[in-house]
Amino acid sequence: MKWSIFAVALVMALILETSMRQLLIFRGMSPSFLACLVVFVALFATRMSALWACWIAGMMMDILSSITWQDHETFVLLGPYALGYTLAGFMVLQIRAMVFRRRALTVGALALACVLLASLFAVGIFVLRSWYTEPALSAYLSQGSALAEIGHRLGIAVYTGLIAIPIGWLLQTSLPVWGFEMVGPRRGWR
Amino acid sequence: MTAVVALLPPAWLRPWTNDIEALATFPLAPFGHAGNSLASWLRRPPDPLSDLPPAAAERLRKAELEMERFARLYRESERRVIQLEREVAELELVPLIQMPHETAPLRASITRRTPGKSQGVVHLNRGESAGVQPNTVAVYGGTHLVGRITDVTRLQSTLLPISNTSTPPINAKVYPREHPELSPRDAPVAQLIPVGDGTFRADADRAYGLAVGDIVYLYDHTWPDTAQHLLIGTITSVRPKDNAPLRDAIIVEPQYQVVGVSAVTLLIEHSNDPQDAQDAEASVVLEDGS
Repeated sequence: MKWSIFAVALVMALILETSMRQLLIFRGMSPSFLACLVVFVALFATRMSALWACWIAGMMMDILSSITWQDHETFVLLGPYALGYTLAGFMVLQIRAMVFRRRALTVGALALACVLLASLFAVGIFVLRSWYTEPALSAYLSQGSALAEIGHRLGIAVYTGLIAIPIGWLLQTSLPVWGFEMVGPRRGWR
Repeated sequence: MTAVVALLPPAWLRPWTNDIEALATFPLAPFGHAGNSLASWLRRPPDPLSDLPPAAAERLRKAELEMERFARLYRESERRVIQLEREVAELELVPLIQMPHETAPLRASITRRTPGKSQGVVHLNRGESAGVQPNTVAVYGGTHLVGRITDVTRLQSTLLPISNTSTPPINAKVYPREHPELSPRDAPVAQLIPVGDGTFRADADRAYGLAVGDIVYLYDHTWPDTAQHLLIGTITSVRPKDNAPLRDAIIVEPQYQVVGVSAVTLLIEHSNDPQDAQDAEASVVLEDGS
């Protein structure tokens, strides 16, 4: 995989995450563009490249999601999304041999699973942290409780899965520039 | 190692992760600003005057702002009268009557939002160099309170929306829709708690007779003077509480929220303290070199 192409795509995804995501808000939920990129890379890159790419994308998501508590204390928690996306990438690596990788629908379905898995992991970390250190769980969540948060993020996962279909199709058209080692030209039936 | 870092307490993380955030997000700021502007162009913020001809809409907007300003000045005067009466009653000497602080509006664009959280903190393109300080109040449409500044760097600042669940409960006064000129002394009080979906919930005594459409203004001494009597929103739901028959559960919804706008106005406070004016003059003299 060409890391320069991944860097450009990552920056574009992050810009969409932090600015354009609000355009698609529906009942307080908006899709994750970064998850679409993570799934796409995990489908086609080599194992180590895919896991590193997922870790980097998750780390950037952690950096952008600063946590505010007590009305003025702000800190950046590194790790929940980095580990969550890596776990999601690992899941995609395990099943990519069993799916049609060049289908946009595959990207949509896996993006749903990716967001759900990453969110479950992140919320789990938040719950664990709230047991032994400040801040309280409410500072990490946008909903009132962990269960409500998981339900909210399930909605985000479904929304992401729907948006990932056209985005997956777009990314598929850019396959040649990525330089994935495992992807060759399509061969028709002979 | 990532797992270990993810479990560290905030005091261990803050000294170095905030610097990493600043380094990592600084290159994204110009693109984020452009992205937010594009989003605002594609989906315009709500404007109740959009159906009117432009000239009439402009005149009406100015008239509304003027009305809101004078209403706010009136309520601010009433609040000060109440405060002074209390002090006299307690036999305290008041050497000077504090005039309201002068404020200078400063437009600030949103350069970055928290992914996945519609009520999450946002980052603005104004910082200490523009006079922004922690606790600076942010408004939209002149008098609609949308949040306040929590963190400031030289060039950027962090805005915490009032509807964010990290915002503490907000004390407010409720004015009936039919009688917005009601004195602050007579207006009922409510304590607003952010729900997390952009609205606030509160409990109010049923005797107040609160109704849908009543207007809610901030009246909280933990907020700066510049925030007092700014508009928070209107009541959209009043329901009796089953477990407290003499109380109503109300829902307050702001007309404007940070999630729907691409820029806010910061109210930069200028003190009327003569010593501060002398210090400001001295700093100007030093900058001139004369």
